[in-house]
This record gives sequence, C-alpha cells and structure tokens, in this order.
Amino acid sequence: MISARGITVRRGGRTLLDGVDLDAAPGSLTAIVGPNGAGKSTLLKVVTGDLAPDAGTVAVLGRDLGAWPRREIARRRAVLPQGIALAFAFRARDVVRLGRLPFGSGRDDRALADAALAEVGLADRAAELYPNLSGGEQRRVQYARVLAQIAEASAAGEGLLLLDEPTANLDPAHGLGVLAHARRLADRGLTVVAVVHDINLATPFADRFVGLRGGRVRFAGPAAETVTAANLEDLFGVTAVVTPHPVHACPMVAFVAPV
Amino acid sequence: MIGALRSRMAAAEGGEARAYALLAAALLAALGVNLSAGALHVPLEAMLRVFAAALGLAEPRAADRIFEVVLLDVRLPRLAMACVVGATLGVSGAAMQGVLRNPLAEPGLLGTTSGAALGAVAAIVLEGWLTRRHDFAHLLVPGAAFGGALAATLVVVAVARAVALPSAATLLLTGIAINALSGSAIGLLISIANDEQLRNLTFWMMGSLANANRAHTLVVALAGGLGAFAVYRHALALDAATLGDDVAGHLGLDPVAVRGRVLAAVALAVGASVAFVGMVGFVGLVAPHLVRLMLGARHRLVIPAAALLGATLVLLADLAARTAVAPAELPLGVLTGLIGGPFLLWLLMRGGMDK
Repeated sequence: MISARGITVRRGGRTLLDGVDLDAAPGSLTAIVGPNGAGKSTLLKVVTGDLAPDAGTVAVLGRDLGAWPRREIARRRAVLPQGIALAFAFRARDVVRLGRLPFGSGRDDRALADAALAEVGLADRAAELYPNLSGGEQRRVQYARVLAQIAEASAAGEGLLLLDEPTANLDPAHGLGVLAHARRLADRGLTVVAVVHDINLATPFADRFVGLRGGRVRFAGPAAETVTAANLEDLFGVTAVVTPHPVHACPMVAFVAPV
Repeated sequence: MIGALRSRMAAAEGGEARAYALLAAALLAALGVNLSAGALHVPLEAMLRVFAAALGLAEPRAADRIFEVVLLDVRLPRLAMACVVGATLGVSGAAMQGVLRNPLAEPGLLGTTSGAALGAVAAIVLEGWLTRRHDFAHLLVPGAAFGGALAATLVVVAVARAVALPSAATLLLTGIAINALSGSAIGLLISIANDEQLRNLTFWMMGSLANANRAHTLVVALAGGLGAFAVYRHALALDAATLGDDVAGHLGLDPVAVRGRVLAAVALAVGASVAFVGMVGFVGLVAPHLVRLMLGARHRLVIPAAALLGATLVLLADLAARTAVAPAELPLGVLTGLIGGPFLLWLLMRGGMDK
C-alpha cells in the first residue's frame, strides 16, 4: 500500500514534483508514465525514502515512511532502481544473495538466490561474473535480487515492489516476462508500482496508470479510462492513436510521427 | 543439467578452499625463509630445535645459543611486526576499496598516512625545540605520527558532517586535499631540516621494520586486530555498498553510518601501523586486488585473504630489505614498490585485472 499526499520536490530552483498524490492498493500494479524529466523517478525516490520531499507525506504498508525502521521496511519492500554499476566483479548468484541482507545471513540464502535466478531464466548463469553478463541479463539478475528480498513477503501475499523501468534493456520476451511476473505478485496481494516507458508493454498487466508531466499528475485511474488518445497527446505532445489490443483485453497505443 | 550445475558449484567452492590453502602455504613459506635467511643462516633443524626448546619440549643445547638469540630476539619480533603490519594493510586496503567503491583506493587515500607522516616529520625536525631529552625520542615520533593520523581523520569526519549526505566522491576529494596539504607541509619541514634529520625522516617515510620490538608489535596488533574485526563485521554491508548507496539503503542499511564506522576502523589500524613502521606503500592497494582475482569479490572471503597475502608480501619485502645489500638495509617501502610495481604491470598486461 502506498499513500502519498501533496509531494513537492524542489531542487536548484526547479520544481521537480508539484503537489503529487500517489495511491496504490494491495493487489494492484500501477504504471507511472510520462515524458523524460516528468518526475517519474523522482516520485519513486520519494516513495523509497531516498529523497526527502520539501512538502507532503508518504505512508507505505500502513505506516508513515519515516516511522519504519530501515531493516523492517527492507523485509517488506524491495526496489529495482535504474542502471546499477557494480564496483567489483561479483558472481550473479552473489548479487542476488545481497537481497537477503535484511534477514541476516541464513544458510538457505544460496538456495533462495538460485531459485530467484531460475525464476528470471538465469539458472545456468548463477556462477557467471556480473560484468560478463549482457545488459539485459544484468537487469534480470537485479530483478532476481529484488525477488530474493521479498520472498517471504510475496509468500505471505503482502509487501511492496517498486520498479524503475524494469523492462529497460530487455527484449520483448523478457520484458513481457518481467511484467507478467510482477502482475502475478500483484495478484497474490503485493502492491506493485513500476515506472515504464513502453506503454504497450505495460497495458496487458497494469490495472492503473498514472501520467506525470512537469512534476504534476495529469491523469490517474484504470487503464481503460486513462490510456486514451487525448491523455497521451496531452502527456507526450505527440499524436496518438489508441485501438483495442488484438489479443489482450486492453488498449494498444500507436504514436504518429509529425509530418 | 542440474548435475552439471552442482558440479560447477562444487568446483567454485573447492576453488575457494584451494585459494586459501595456497595463501596459507605462501605465508608459511615466507615465514620459514624469513627466519632462516640473513647474516646468519639458520638451518631448519636448528630452527626446530630452538623452537622446541623455547616451548619446553626439549632440552636447550649450548651449541644452539647463537641461533636462539638470532631467532627469538632478533628475527621473531621483526617477523611478528611484518605479519601484523602486512595483515593490517591488506585488510585496510580491502575495506577502503569497498567503502569507496573504487578499486584504486588504498589505505592512505583519506589522508591517514600523510597525516601520520606529517606528524612524524614534524617530530623529527622540530625535536630540538620540543624536547632536549633524547631518551623519549623513541616515543615522540610514533606518538606524533599517530596524532597526525587522528588529526587527518578528524578533518575528514568534520567535512563529512558538514555535508548532509557525504558521498564516496566527497570523502575522496577531502582525502586528496589533506594529502596535498600534508605533502606541502612535509616539503616545508624538509627544507629546514639538517642532514641528520633528513636521513631519519627519509628512513621513516619509506618504512622500516628495523626497530620493531615486542611492545610496538603488541600495540599495532591490538589496533590492527580491532580494526580488522570491525571491518570484517561489515563485510556484507561492504558487499551491498558495491551496488551503490541507494541500493544499500533499500536493503536496510545506513550507508553513511557504515562508511563512517569502516573508515574509523581503518584510521585506527593504519594510524597505529604507520606510527611504528613508517609508510609502507602498495601492499594495501595490491593485496586486495590479487585476492579478488583468486576468490572473487565477496568481502567475507576477500578480507581474511587480504590479511594473509598482505602479511606474506610484507615478509617477502622485508626479507629483501634485510638481505639485498647486507649488512646495510634498504627501506621497506622501496622494496614493496620495487617488487609490487612490476608485478602489477605484468598482471595488467596479461589482462588479469579484467577477468
């Protein structure tokens, strides 16, 4: 559960977020969309606590964010940030094992890490050095780390998963795979929020869309109501055509190049 | 498929045990050679007899008296100091590289070493002003060096506190500023030093184990051991720091606090070591590197192994320092650089660092 109210962030004279509200309920997958510089990642950082807002309040999983002890929240909430550069060459498995840090170091860490790697289809790459993996594989290793972190929470059907562009660098199959996996976690009762760029990748899985532009919420609501040509043109400043998806029961978007 | 995976995993685990065995064997060999070699060659049987007698397992022989003096009173204290200093530098280097997320970091990067050097040089050059009693000169220099190390660390802490969320880069730049400042101050002191002082401080700035004694070794071992223990307790946090401050925070850690505690541990350990044996470069940089090539990057494996390898490297360098131009001695720091530099270059040319 996330309940953020009136989030305002100013940095160096610029207003990055201006009175933003964000609500996400257990069992839902919320997609945050918007043009570059809209404040999507900034909003996510406020929700993770990485960034203290100049105004506004954030509550996650029923408690004020500041009231959560670091370790307690880390056992229930996992975050997949954008680009992670490793300073040293860890093996894929060891990166995933770091997800178990909030729980101390148990003996089952290794098994859990390998299980998480298997879930993202990288079971045979467990012993590979992280820098030797492709960009997409590194991304999936990080997603596996996040899964290892919330293994207990997802088994219990609670917890919070925050994903910043989880499909970046992924081919369509793996991009769909990660979002479908996140959808299954939401169906189990987790709250999932993802910043996404490719709206068509998200529409089959996300039940709510939040559109950000210039640090303000332009629209928020169920996919069927918010993913409309008018909303998307307003958000991105590009002509958009929205049609029903030929296979899934969701909208599909085509952007039209200006002539 | 699963069988293949299992055997691969087993191979990886076996590799770790093998690497540790190799490091331990190298340390034992270095210890043996160091005990045996020197102005007086001590044969292995004599060595065993002397140690057996010292432990009360055998009757001491009159003929072994000379070996006993050389081994127990001359070589063993020096050897103990070499091990303690080497292990301290290895662990401190691993900690520093981890906490600053920078494989080029070394224990002196935050000004601890140069602060200590400034203290020591000031004590040597200004000794005449500070005291006319030469009988406590032997404590004046280490004391001033440790004071300098602490002062440098306090400056880093003050800057870190002034900045809301000190990043690794901020700390690094603070260290660079302190190093520049200390370097200039040392230059100033050198320019007013007389010839004898110059010889003394050159010797100190290049490191030496020649004056190692039991009391000094005990102090360095205590400080180094305490520092190493604190660093090892943060091994997993250092692993997480590799992914960046934000990720470490998401995993329930306080990255700024972790950095502060690890840096304090390093300052204590390195400060004590540099106070008594002077500046010994390169070991802290290269030992963690080599260990990572053998064992991977996990700090739980890297930290103890860096201690073993650091001790071995300092033992070998000191062996060369004692014997290369006997009966004269070379400064230890010259040897660590002389042996370590080409070795690192060779590794780089093989592309070993990227593997």
